[in-house]
Amino acid sequence: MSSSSSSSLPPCPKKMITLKSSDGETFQIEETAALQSKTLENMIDENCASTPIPLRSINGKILAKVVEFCNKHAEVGVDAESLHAWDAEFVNVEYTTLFDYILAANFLEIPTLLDLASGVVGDMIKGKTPDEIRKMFNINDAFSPEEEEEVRRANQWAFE
Amino acid sequence: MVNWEKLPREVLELIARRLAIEDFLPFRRVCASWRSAAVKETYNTKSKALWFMIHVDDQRAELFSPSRGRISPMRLLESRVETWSPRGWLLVSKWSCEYHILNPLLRLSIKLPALEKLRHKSCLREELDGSKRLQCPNPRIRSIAWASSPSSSRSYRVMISINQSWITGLVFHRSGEDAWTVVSPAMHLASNSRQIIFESHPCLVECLGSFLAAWTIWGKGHGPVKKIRVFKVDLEKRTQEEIKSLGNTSLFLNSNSSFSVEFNANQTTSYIDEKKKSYSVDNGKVGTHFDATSCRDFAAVWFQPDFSTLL
Repeated sequence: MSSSSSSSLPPCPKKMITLKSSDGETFQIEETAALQSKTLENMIDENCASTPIPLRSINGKILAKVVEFCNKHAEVGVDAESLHAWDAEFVNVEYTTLFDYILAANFLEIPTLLDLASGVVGDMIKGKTPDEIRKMFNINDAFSPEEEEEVRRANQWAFE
Repeated sequence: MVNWEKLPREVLELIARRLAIEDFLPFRRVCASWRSAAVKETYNTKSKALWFMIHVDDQRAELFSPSRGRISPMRLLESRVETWSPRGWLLVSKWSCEYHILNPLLRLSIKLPALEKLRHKSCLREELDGSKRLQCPNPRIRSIAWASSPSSSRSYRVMISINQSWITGLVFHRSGEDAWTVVSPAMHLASNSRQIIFESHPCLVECLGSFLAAWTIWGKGHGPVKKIRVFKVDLEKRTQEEIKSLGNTSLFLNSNSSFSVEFNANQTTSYIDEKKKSYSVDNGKVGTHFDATSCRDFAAVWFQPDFSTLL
């Protein structure tokens, strides 16, 4: 291997990365798109070896969507408005899928996707009471009655 | 299995940081793990929500949050509300002589010295006369501001503007003292012109730990706002000095409740006066920002509560 070649020429103009989901599906993604993930960036070898990168916490269905997201965001010449519309459609999914997007984005460290998905959660929370939020996300209240009373008292006047 | 309780802490923090206070507080009450992620440090103080008081009488007040789009009622004690501090403190009077500041949120009430106790160290004859005249019975308290609020500190400084017939005075009180100290009036403001009308009392604003007094100057017949002049109060010298630029700070001015907000450097410095107008001190432009013409009297007050004690 020549050490000068990497600086003068791109080693692989269309370098492809192979990702392997928890259920054994493999996905090809261009390196430029994959670099949006800090986790993948750290994993990607300097050479062009195409050993699949195993992602044991992400299933094939979600990984396919994540790859789609990264490809879209790596596209050249997409105007902000249409990308925004595309994003909105992308996260217009079931709560469970949204949850998986968040976990995948967090694991892979893709800030754009994490911001997008957690922003949707934030919007869903807005204007709702704790009870409504628990119902929406199917969360069982883990507060003791004393804790609950303490918080309720503090918020009493402002948000009855 | 999807378990929203078990979202990684950093993700919960990311979500919580986006929320305005009225959503941040319910977020904390969802469950223990969400609560532990939404600590005081998580709350993005830059996303402080503004409120609008749309109704007040001696029993209750109604607050409207534009960001929430909802009206929240608030119970008041049976006292007359004299004025309202934007950080959530009310100045109330009982029988128009005993004054308290109270915070319904913290359930805290502090008695203020009687208004007869005005102290001054000035040797200027006219100022002595002025403060003597202010001592006449039943001066009207017009506005209030805190330099350090009792919500966050045991030692506080409060300033009020009081009216006695045509005289307006600024007096301040430090915690631990038993009297009010008079600030020298900005004498040159007393000059009269037929073209303009000074508002009879200034709006008091706390700005970066200092007190500002902002006077609105109207066109003839209460026409459009001509100018707003801002004076910084020096508590040690007990004087006022005019300031010409506020840097990145904007003042939200109201007859009853004013406050300052710091914006990004690229935003125009503007004053927003009561109801709906804005005024830029840098370029003199007046603009319309918010239509609140349906609100009446005491209401239509901008309000930015201090929630730090809740977190």
